Amino acid sequence: MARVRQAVSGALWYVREVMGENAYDHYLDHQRRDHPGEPVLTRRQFECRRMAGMEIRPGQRCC
Amino acid sequence: MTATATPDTGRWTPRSIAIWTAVAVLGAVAWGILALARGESVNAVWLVVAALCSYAIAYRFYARFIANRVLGVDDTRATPAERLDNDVDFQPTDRRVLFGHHFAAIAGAGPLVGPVLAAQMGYLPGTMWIIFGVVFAGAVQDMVILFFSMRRDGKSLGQMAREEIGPFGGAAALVAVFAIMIILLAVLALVVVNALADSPWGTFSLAMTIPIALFMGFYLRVLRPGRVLETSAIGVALLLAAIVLGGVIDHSSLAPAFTLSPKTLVACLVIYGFAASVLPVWMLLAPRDYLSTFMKVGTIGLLAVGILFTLPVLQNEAVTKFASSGKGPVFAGPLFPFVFIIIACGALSGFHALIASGTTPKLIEKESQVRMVGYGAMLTESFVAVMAMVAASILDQGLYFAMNSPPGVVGATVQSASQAVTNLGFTITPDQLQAAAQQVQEQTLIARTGGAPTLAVGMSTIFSGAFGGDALKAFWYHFAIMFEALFILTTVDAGTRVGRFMLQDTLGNIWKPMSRPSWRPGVYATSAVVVGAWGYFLWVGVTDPLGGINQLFPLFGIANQLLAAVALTVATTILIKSGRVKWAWVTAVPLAWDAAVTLTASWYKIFSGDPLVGFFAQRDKYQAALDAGKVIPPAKSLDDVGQIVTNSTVDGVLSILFASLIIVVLVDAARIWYQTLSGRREPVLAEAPAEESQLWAPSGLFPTAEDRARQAELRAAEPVGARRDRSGGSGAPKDGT
Repeated sequence: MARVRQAVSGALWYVREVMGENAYDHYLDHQRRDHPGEPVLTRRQFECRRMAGMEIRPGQRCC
Repeated sequence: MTATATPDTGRWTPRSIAIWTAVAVLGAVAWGILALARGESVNAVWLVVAALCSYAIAYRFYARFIANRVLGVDDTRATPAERLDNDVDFQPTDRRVLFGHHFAAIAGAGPLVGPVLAAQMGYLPGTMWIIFGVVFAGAVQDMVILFFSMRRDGKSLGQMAREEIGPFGGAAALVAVFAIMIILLAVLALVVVNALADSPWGTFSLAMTIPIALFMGFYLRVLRPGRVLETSAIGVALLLAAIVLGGVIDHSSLAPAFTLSPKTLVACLVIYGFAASVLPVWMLLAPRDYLSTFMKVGTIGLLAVGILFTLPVLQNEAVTKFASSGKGPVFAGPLFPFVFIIIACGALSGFHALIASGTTPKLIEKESQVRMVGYGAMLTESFVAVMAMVAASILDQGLYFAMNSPPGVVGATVQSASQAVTNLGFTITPDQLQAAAQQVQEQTLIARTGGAPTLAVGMSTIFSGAFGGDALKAFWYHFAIMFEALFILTTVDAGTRVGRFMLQDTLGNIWKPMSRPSWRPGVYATSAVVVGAWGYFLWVGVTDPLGGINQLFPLFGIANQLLAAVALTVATTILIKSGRVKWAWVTAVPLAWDAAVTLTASWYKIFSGDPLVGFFAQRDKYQAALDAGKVIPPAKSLDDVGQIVTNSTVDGVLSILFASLIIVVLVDAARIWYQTLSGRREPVLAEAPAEESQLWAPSGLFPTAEDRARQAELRAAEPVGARRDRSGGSGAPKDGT
């Protein structure tokens, strides 16, 4: 049972990572680690900034 | 020293010897069955087994050799992701996550279309090229370019060509990139047009993806920022509903509204491409990308499961007579070089070099992971291509040729198609053709070129065999069409945007405001140019009396392989300049092969006297007819004849352009090789200086026992929250989840 739970949470973790759902958490980690004490963006602000980044750096998609 | 202790330390144990011997024997048996079977039916599972065993051996031995000996990956050296970590472009990313990103970026409709077309020469030549091509050329290219770009802080292929070869090579590379993008977008869009023409079901469900994507964009932006997963789940559910609803529309009075001619579809696609390029990404492009990633991975997984479930028998011959005659209706020309041109994605795809030198090198955590991400992801794409070959080869061959021959050959009615197929040496009755179309609820399956409909019929056969039976055949067919069209459109969106940026960048050198992303007139103008360029070729493809796919697809293949030649030349140059001449064959041999293929194909396309193959022979034939005022089939009017003359001239000139670009790059690089090897020039490498890595992560997919011990050690030593290691280790979610 514990193994099943671990497998499910592992899979969920993977999908969230690949789809970028965890990007905000990574950002918070990054701020805490490298810029402690500085104010952090809210999730809404962060996602807007992320989209603005994609605006000028579109991901290439192949054939 | 300890940091290089990577998963497979190369030590042999009796167990590993037994396993690898078994893999080798099984692979050899599968290849033997495929190669020796003549006239008896072969199960598709052997194709899958041969592929998987070959991949395993190549990954274990050849990729490891390249990583350790040729490239000299060094895990004590910090990657750009670690050194330049800014949480935006540079960011150490878990190797398995990065594999997912990289795979989603490289794999699209290409590996699904090429093998379907190449199946006209039998399943064997195409399959052999897909597997050997990926092992010795495609995956090698992806991995070495990823590595070299990583050592240069994620420089693009164009920049590397300029720095390592010279301004000439660099400029040629840039032109090649732009040209291939235009042709690629046109050909892929043509596949969509051919799949949706006069099909209300398909057109409706694809049209619905636009409002679905807009809704997802709004949801992500306003309602639930960043909740990608639930948004995608809603999107996929809506998408499936749209496919089901399409079946209802098909039988309703709304059907005529969604029955669009190819020309109307071209106009729609061009308008759509322009809109997607100028709208903010969050509205359309990003949500579509999420949807398409989900569908891509899901459907490919489903296909693999379906094949293993149904174990279909191949109907295609191992090698058909068209392999030697070169007179097949799907594409003209002999096996060498054209099979190697038609199947680009899945075996060797130059386009991947753009991705391997784009975002991926900026995210990779450890140098040794280039093997898993670069080589591994390309092996996976190759496997997709093998499955596409299976899907095309399990169809009745009469049906295959009725679907894939241009209208000029098979005509428009079931009778004419049946007759044409008989003339080709296969059989299918008009009734059978009618029944096949009815089964998937399409008006006709005749001359549905471009590969997508064929693949969809193959997939619906496999899926309905595994899940749902015949009742669901039409659903699965439209599911497959939708899934291909969806990710082709994603490529069209992204490609148009990337092309627009390239153009803005280039024009910005001449006139500054052009390169500013926020200057709207510049955005509109460059978007219009890019859309206009691929739109032109798409229009030509749709209206060409000779059939667009068989004219344009070889050009697309040549352009893609041309880019591969640039990438392999850059890699070989770097190997030579860094004093690794003895290993240069690793990229030089695939380069020689690729140059031979591309130049031979260009030679045929330019100089062949056969009007079916050579563009200029074709031009002369129809020009002569035009001068004489004669209409020769498949042209139906003098206008048609004139159009063929124009098209073959444009295509011929493009072939000359592509061939010259390869020659320029090769000659320029050969100059550098000669100067370096003869000691006339001190080699200057543009590599970023080494810095010691503070990070540790496993390099293979599964952490070894040593990796796990190391991981536990690191976790114990570091306080929670200060961990820089983003890897979840044995698959357990990392802290915070």
